[in-house]
Amino acid sequence: MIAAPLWSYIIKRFLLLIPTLLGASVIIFFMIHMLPGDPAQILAGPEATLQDIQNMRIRLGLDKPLPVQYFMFMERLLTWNLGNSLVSGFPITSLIVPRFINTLKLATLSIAISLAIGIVLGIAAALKRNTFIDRVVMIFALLGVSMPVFLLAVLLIVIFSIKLQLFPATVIGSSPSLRHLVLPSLTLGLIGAAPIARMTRSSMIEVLSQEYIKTSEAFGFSRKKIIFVHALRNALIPVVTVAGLNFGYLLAGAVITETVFAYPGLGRLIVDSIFARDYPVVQFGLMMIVALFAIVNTAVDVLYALINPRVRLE
Amino acid sequence: MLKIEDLKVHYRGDLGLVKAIEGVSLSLEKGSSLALVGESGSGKTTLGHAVIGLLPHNAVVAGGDILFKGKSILSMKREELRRLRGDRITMIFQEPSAALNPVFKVSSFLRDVLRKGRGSSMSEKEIREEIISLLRKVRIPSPEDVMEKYPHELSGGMKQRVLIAAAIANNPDLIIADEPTSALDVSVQAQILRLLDELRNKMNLSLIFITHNLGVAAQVSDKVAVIYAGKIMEIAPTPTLFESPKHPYTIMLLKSIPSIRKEIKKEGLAAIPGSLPDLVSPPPGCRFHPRCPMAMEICSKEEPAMVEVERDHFVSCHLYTEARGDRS
Repeated sequence: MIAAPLWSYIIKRFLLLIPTLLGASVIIFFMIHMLPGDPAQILAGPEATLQDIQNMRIRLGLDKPLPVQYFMFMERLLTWNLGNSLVSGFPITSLIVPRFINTLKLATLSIAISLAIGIVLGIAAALKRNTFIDRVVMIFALLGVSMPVFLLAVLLIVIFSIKLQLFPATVIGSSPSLRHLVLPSLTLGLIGAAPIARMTRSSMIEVLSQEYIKTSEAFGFSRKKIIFVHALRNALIPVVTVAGLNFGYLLAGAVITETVFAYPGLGRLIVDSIFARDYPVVQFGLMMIVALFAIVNTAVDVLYALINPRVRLE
Repeated sequence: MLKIEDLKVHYRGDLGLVKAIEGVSLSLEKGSSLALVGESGSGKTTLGHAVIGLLPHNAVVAGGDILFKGKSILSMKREELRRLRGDRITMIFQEPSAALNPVFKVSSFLRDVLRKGRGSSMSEKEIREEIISLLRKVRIPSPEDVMEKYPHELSGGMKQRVLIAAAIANNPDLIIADEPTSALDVSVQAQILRLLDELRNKMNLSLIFITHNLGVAAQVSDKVAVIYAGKIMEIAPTPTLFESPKHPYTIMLLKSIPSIRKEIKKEGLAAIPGSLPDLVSPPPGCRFHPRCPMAMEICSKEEPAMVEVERDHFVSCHLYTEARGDRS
């Protein structure tokens, strides 16, 4: 059951998305325009005359003042009429949407793996503090934090696709199946599990030394109940924040992993489009990522309020 | 009902063994209340924790026994002890704000306590009614609202009432209250003390009241044990202790209580010079002798035995041992 103040908190958080996204759209728009290189010139080709380039500029609307261009950009965004790619000529919607879904799949699976492994290991390390188990977990976490993601990706490919031949190393086509998702999500999931394990461990250790845990002991609750209900709920509060940030990183920063596994995600599309100076694709792709990131962060805030009643006070 | 026999509890520390409790014997009948009075570090909290089986990991029981209804708590299996806690023996804590889990509503805390004590046979509706009646018993106004609140939405006094409600939820035999009013406003203190006294009479509970405040002890106890450096110095029925204290330490403690009736300006408020001895290597003989104004030669050599100076009034002091005859 959710109390009325919580609803108003949730609505408030989601209303705050509007100014956030507006601000982001301004920043993205002007950043793209500050990039070196003239898209009209690139599009017109190396042999184009000055007149050709000027015509191209007019066609793209690049001759208009910047604020006008910004409103044109917003209009296209809000009416979901994104236009065509400058390079391939395909509608941008058909380029971005499937990639976006692929990225979402990968990020969700990765974060699920991170949370499952990170929380279990973190609790184990906290309960067995200063023992062999704790050491092993902490070494794992140190490796996870310091190992470059491409190295782990390559290691997993060597082990699981080349030696054991269990899972495919690369994606062929534009819609990866669950089998294709295993190795990339394992890579990102393992790397992401490291900070979550460390956070869970330290937070759990702190919570277990609190007075209210002593209360639970004095009232004779079972150890299982104390650890997994009374303590864990408190210990997860900072973990949720870390996991939320990690999710944002997975949405946008998984480019390297996507490249290693030839995974058709949004990150790779954006990077490829930057190299090709395909600015509309970059703009709308970034907007999608920012929007998703903002929504995820809001969802994390709400989740945070659900498990930590004290933040609802404001 | 509760019998502590020559209990010794030591802590393993970096500097050696800290002899926190050194041969304490006490007994408590059903429905009566004992105040354990001492300064911080005297071992009163350790004693409370030993009774409920909650000693920290670095504590060692070096001797003696604690019998609850004739059964040794110290030799109980962990599971058996766990069933006892929160059910037959419960505890109330010093800092109500820290003692309540911040992410659970009052109702879910009390539900957990009730379910633990009475099994899962109670329906949700019965539990709700029981929670409301418990909150009424501890004089919480509009219990239907309070049960839906989180700890941070309640005042300190309210939180302590919630903890008391949890402590009495399963009709325990014994409640250990560890400085339950020290963190509260003075006006709230009096209310909580009155509540505890009332509940004890109504529910026929036994109460161990741990406090550094003799004034508080006077209000809630039938019997007071004055503890110093891990040893009991004097134990007597409450009125007797206040009318005719025998041990120099008790006398000095009583003098250090500010009172409206006393002419403070003239006499000043007495303080006890010095501080608690090092419990790794406590002073030989009587542990209080370095601070005692009446110390004699024998005090630093021989440990005084417990002497019954009048009915139910015991003192551990050489002023009242065999030597007393020679002096008069």
